[in-house]
Amino acid sequence: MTSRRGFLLGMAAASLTPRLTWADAGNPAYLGAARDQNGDFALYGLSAEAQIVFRVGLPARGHAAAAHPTRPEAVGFARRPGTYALVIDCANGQVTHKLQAPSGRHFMGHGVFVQGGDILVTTENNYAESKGCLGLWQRSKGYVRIGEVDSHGIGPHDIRALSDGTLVVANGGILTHPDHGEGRDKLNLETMQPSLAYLTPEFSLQEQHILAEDLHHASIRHLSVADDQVGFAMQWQGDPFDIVPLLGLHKRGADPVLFEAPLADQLSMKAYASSIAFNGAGTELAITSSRGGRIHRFATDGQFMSSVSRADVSGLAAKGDGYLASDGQGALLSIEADSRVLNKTSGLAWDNHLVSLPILG
Amino acid sequence: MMMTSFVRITLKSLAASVVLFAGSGAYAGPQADAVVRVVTQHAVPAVLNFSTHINALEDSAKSDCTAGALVPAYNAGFDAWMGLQHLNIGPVEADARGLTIAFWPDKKGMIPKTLSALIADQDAAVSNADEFAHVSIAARGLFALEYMLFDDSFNAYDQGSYSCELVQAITHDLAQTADHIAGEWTREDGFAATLTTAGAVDNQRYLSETEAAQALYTMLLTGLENSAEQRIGRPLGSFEKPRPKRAEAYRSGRSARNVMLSVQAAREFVVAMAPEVPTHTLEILDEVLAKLQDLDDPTFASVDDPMGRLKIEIIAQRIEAATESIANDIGAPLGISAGFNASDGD
Repeated sequence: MTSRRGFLLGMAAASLTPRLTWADAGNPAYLGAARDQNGDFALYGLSAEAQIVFRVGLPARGHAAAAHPTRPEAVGFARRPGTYALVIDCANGQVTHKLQAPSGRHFMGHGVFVQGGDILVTTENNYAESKGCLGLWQRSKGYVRIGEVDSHGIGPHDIRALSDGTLVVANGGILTHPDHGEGRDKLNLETMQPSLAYLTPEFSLQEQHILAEDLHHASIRHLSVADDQVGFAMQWQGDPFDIVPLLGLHKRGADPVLFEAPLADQLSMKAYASSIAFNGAGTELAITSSRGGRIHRFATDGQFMSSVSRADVSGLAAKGDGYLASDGQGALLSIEADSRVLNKTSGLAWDNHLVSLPILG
Repeated sequence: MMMTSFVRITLKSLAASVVLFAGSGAYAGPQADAVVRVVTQHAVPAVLNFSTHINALEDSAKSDCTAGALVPAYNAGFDAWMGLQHLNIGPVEADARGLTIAFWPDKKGMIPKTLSALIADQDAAVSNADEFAHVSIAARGLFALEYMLFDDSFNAYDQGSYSCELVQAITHDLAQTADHIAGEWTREDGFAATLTTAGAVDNQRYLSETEAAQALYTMLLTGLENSAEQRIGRPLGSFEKPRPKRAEAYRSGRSARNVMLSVQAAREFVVAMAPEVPTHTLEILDEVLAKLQDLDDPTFASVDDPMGRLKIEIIAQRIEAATESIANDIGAPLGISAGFNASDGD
């Protein structure tokens, strides 16, 4: 426990430190991780036009990052079933803290800052008890773990905060254990039950949605929020030739609505959505499929807008009225009615996700 | 014939564009060389062959639409498709043409349902090509045609009947699709040029030679994986529950033939793409072809017999072994691999 004296000293130190902002890290609009030509992994800051503004080396391939809302700080998560996460000062490239998952738990690759950026919430697999949990870490105490709460489902993956501090969690439903297939074997496909769970700012269950029984193989993985509407992207655990929805939209208090493209386009996604994002205006949303090499755009009323082909495309974030997409071949693309290459970062393979910074500048 | 002159012109323009590329001054590295070889020795001949045989199928349906008369042209057309089906990029991928030509697997039985509905309603879409091009993909392409020609509840129709018109509409639609594919591949600024000018300033599709080589390489591997996991894997089902009626094109007795033709296409692809003679890969692929020959089971019906099942399983395993060998014979020397995210998502 932190002593009162230690706490006060910390406060005093904090008030003396100049307050760094994202401007000190070159004003990135996005964070993305990539593998370079030498096989090294790094976290990159990208400008609004997808130019690299900083690079910080990572010890291994990561999954996603959580960006602090104001300070130039990012938390990079090791890939499942990784047990560590690194807090990176993006202004000077230093790793300032290393988060170690407690025994019997590993990180799931996503996290979000709440309470003005003081609390980091991480999705975790409590494999010792075969359930999902959320780890709570307090930044002002040096990222000490202050507790954990139930995620209300197995396999929590992405997590986001709404404007009133409510948390929304994608419980993917898939049970894994680090002792089985390096933590990637799926141990409960027959009985899996993904859900979308909302937790109050005090972390109690507020609302939970489970899709129809015939969609129980649709693992809800990734989330995007705009105007407190939650878009969710799914990865089908059944036959990749099944014709199933991969995208849903939900507003609290209502039932989720599922979107599908016309038959042939839907099949081209290979029953897999990698990332999801609303556009900047919140008027449409899109999903990528690295397996299908496609980006699908939908209006928020469910109208299918277009399909863009790009091999190995995965990362996706809002950019103006459209999107920024990244792929394993180093391209950063602007996606609107058509796609345009903004930056071809030769030799870089962009990893699963792009993260929008909550506040620009 | 129209078709012959079309082919001659497009081959000429293709040759011109490839020469243009080769003479553009930049040193063409091993990746670019491999792309040019695949385009000229494998892809374009497959595209033109498909167009030729599908146009012949349309002609045949025009003169006699009945099932018995159409079977030879149908088989020739399907054979030609097997030479092309794995190249599901560019003109084949555009407008979902690949899926429209071959809608399989039809897990929900949409093909017979959609065909029955068209026939019951005597839907006028069959007499208007533009309208038919907007009919569900379940009622178009080679698998819809397979029902019309081989399934007892569809194939007993006469010349001049609605079903006859439907068969003619399907073959006409297929021919149009094949012509679009051929045109878009081979015209001067077509897909062959897009692949062979990868990395050029104005090429937004392939930003580097690596991207073009990688795109083709992915098609090669995916094609073989589809044969192992889908064409063979689906009828195999599980040991407790084999699924012979899930074999591809079993109604027309083409299941094993389709695997054989897809492996032959992969063999041609490998020979064109590999920078050195891919001895090990060719050994495996030839072994697969010999085993398919010996199997003598056109529809994989023997999946429910333990011995037959084992033989079929081994064929699938050897096809998978070929993909690993291709990584050594082609991937490693050309510096390309399967997609970074596609092969390892989360």
